[in-house]
Amino acid sequence: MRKNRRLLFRSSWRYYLKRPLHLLFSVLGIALGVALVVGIDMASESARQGFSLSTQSMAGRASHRIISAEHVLPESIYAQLRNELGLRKVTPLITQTVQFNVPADNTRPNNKQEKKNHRIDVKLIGIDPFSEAEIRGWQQGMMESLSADSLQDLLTETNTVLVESTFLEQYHLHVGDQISLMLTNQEQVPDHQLLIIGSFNAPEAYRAQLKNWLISDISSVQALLNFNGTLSQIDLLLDTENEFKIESIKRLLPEGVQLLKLDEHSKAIARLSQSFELNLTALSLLGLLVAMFLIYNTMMFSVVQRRDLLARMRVIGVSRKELFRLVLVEAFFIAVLATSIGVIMGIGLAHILLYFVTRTINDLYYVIQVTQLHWSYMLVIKAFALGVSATLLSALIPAFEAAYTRPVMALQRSNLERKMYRWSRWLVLPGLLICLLTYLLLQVSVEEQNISMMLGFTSVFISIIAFIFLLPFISRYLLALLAIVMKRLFNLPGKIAVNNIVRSFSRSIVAIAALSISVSAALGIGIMVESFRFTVDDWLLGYLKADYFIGSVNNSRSSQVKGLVEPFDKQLLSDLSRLSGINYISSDQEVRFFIDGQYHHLTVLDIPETSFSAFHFKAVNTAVAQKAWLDEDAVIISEPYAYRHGLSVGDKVNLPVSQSASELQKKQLWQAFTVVGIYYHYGSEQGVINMSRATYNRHWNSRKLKALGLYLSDEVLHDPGKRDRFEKQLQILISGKSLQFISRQDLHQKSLIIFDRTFKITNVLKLLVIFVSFVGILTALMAIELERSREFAILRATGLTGKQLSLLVYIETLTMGIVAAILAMPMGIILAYLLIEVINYRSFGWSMQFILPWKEFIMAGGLAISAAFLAAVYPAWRLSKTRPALALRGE
Amino acid sequence: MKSQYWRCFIRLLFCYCTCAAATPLPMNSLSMKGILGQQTAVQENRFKQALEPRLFQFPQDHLAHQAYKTEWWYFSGNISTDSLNKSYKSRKFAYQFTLFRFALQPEKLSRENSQWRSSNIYMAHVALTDFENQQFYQQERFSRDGLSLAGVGKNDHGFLQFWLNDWQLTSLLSDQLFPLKLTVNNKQFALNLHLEVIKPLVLQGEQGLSQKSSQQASYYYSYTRLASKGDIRIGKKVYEVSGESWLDREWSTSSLGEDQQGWDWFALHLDDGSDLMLYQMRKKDALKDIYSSGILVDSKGKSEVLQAQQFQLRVDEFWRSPVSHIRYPVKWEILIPEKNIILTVSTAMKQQEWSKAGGFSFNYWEGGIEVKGIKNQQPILGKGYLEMTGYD
Repeated sequence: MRKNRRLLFRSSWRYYLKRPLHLLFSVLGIALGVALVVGIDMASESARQGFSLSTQSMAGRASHRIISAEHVLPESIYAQLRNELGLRKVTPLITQTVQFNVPADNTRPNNKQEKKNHRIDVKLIGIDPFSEAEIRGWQQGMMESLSADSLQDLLTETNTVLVESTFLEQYHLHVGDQISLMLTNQEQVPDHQLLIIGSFNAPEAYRAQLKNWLISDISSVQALLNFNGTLSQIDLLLDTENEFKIESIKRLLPEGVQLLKLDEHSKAIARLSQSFELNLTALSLLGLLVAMFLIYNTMMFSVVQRRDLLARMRVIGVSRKELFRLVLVEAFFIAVLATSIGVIMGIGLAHILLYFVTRTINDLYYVIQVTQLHWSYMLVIKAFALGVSATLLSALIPAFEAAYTRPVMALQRSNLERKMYRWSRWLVLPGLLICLLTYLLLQVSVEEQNISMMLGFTSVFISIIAFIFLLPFISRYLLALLAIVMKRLFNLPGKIAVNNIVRSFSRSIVAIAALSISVSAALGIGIMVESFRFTVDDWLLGYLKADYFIGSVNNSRSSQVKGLVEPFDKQLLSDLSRLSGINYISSDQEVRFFIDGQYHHLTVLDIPETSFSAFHFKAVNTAVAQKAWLDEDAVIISEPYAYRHGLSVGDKVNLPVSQSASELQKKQLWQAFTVVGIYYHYGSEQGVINMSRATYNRHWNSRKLKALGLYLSDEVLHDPGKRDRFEKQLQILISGKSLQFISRQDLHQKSLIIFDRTFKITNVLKLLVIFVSFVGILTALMAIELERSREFAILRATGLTGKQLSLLVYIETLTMGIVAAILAMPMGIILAYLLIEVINYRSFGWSMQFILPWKEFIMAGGLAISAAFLAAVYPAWRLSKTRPALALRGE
Repeated sequence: MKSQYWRCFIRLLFCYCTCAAATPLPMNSLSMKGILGQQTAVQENRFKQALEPRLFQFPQDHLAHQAYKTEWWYFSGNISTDSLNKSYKSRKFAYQFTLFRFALQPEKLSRENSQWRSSNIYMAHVALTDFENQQFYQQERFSRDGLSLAGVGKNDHGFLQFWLNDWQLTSLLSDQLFPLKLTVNNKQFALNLHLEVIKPLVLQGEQGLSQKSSQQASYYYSYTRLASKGDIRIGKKVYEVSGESWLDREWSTSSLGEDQQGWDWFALHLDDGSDLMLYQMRKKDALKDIYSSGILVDSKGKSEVLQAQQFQLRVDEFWRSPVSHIRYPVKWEILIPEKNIILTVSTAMKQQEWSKAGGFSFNYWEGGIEVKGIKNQQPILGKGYLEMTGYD
């Protein structure tokens, strides 16, 4: 028995050994699919780890954090906590992301993006060394490693920083060296020079984070960043049982400043990017699904090709079970080999993806710096489980095929083809039923957003299955049609070619399905991104009303400290209003509330009445909404906010308003605001509540404006000379105030640049899916053609010239390419529709316009046809060179 | 007299900062020593030195002297619950409150760009000894002077203030140091004392210039007897207390002499109304340095400086700390033949130690003591405070 089995395996071994290309392609298909999943998984996991490490290194042992609704915290609170309440386990922090000019020739060789601009994001951190010890653990060893003179300098000199020793290593710097930083995002402001006065070794766990931190005394950071009087946060270690103490802290806090439980706070922040990460994972699974088809394709092909051999084995007494097992064992070995390669490729891929993932998270959610990949056994186990099970699953049908063909029938090749051709009709009904299931699945509405999202993705996957069921039937008719076309175009070779495809339907249909699925996946992603971009572009066009915007020069991406204390002082506002040519100055204030473990963002607007038209509402009378928004306790909310919180027009939003005047009985008061409109807004996926200045002023006192909008008179706007003069005057007014202005057109452009940047990861994924499918298709088609060497030899022997034979091969693969491309178009549109529904609406709550960009279709068609074309090159060349007698002698 | 502190101070200051003060951790300060030695030489030149007697001016001289590197306000005393209430036995306590200033710069830095900009670092030690329950409560704190987190100064009404976070000393009359209110509130214990002058200020050494070695001196004055009244809290229990305290004020820039190892300092309130302060500087060879000194203040406040050769100190008993394993003398014999004084000093509680092993920045012993002896052939009793350094 055992001997028997060994013999069987040896026959498999010989089979693959004889066809190293075939083996290589099978392995490559699986490896690429696994690499895609591993790459994405690893990159998002590393980003997550980076985030949690960064939170940990920032928070240390702290249990609570004090933050401000307006991102800047008055430092006087800290003095009160210590001097009045006598709290000891409390420490202040300022963090700001700044740009570090990497010294020339010292760039790390492994990051091309950084190499290009020689600037990287680092965190400038201001600490108070005297209170740190109570809270954070990472600076253990920091102070010991410094000389006393350096300590003195740290506290008394403004331009001094400490760094983790890894920072020095990675940029080949030394203690005593100067480094240069760009503190604002204004190019014209000269860079700051800082002196490294010491380095220290952080505990291993924190090193990855700390290697991009520049640590300085809090006084220096305030001076450098012009943050006099403010902090980013205060971290506290409180006894959570001590209600009295917590209450006394809360009483001390001014309006807009909140005491949060740290774990709730970090969770809320981590949740921000959850949808994004889930989407990435789903897209990577889509990649794997495509890869599964390739696996199925190659396995099926290896069975079909050995049909004679397998049938003979059956005849000589090999049991069905043994054959079944044989194919699965083959598949298993290929899977293990391929997954191993795939994991290695995936790690390489993760390096590239990590950059994009981190940048998107930085652009959209919170600032993290991750340069280190997170590696875990779990990840590898997951990859193997996925790779092997996907392969075995794909090999099931081929194994079944190998075991259950009756020997006599198997020897007749045409039998299978006939069977397949017949079956294609029976697949239509289940296909349609699955379509219906997809539709029903989309109708199920679930409160829980993640489940709703997963349902959406499931519908994407089963729609693909439906497509597979319907595909053979549709292909039949398409092939019949193409047979006529090809015959017209190429006469006999055309006719033979299409007939060849039909004759080997069982094999060719698998290749066509794999090709069209991968093409439709790429097309679907493409349409989705383009539709989104179009929508945002269109929205920006209507939404940005003012002609100029003035805002802070500080990197607004940092969620910790935004802007200055009060960049817009009264003097500046009155100076601006005196500037000739300004019709209206609008203002924008941003406030955040932390309610029930979530951030709620409030935008307070003071805009001219005509600008209200910038809001496009979902089924609400704009005029009515505007009146209520201006005069009543009413708000308008953005679509994602409504989606996330399940709100509709007429519902109420409760917000904590200013506390009562009596200091002794300070109690949190809440005010309900009626939702009078839901407007389209793509600026924030968390969604915003939008309130008029007048309404805000009735309930709150703060006036920390974030940005101003300037509406110019037509006269100035359309006269380039006057406009130029206006810009110059504006520049003079805001100079020295850490402010910058930007025209509407430029802001529009910049917004789109950021949009494109955040979707780069999606495009990278699309390219990867294309690459996976391209390689897979190429191999599948090539294998089919090579397999038919013998048939072609007969044709050659019966009089076809070498040239004609090449043409025949080209026509055959091209026909398959064309069928795949045609089928991929509707499927791509359906996938795009589903992806928009799932990714944009279910994940983020954005309604989207649906556009069909011709570019994407051309790309998809080109992809299918060029893959088909390339697949023919080698077989055609080989066939035309082979002497028929040799081929006939065959194997 | 505790001028040697400042060297230990900077050496340990930052080690402290790197370790959690709440949990007793052994401080790894050895690596700092060499480096700090260099630092002192460079930095010291920028500060003023106490070289010759000065004309003291009050209340200004009660406040900080930025041009000098180190400075302290040192309160210590013995207090007890009211013994008039016969139903309870009087409970005895001792306390210490010390505020240290350590200058980063000889001049104040501008706070134009940041209120956090600091010119000084402050440290405070507070201790309360409960003799009956044999408990020693102690706490240490550090702070920068930026953002008014710690400091010394006059408030808007002219009251003098000395504080480190919520540990505070506030004068109750403008432009005067006394009466003075001391407020310390911790989880474990609290002090709430009202201090008033019984005897006037005395200048130590040569008109307030106290020579510590051939090269080093400090400015030094004391209020030797302060009436102290108020309440203390241990855990949740509050005791009304009264007693007598001692204030030492000292500032300087210089450090211990090369050959000096540490010192023993006695501040005694004798029950005939006289006060005695003595310190002996110990050399590395364990001998008494000639720069040791003392002062005797009679009940009317008249003071007389004692030179090193005028008094003798003898150790009668040692005690080894179970925490730091350092051996401290806890029973002393004081002889001042010229004044007909023979005193035995001992303590009712030996564990009044600050140690690095216990999580604090220095190794020293400081605590309340009892005095018994003979003065002018008459038996005499007293209380006081003893400080011993350099035994590790």
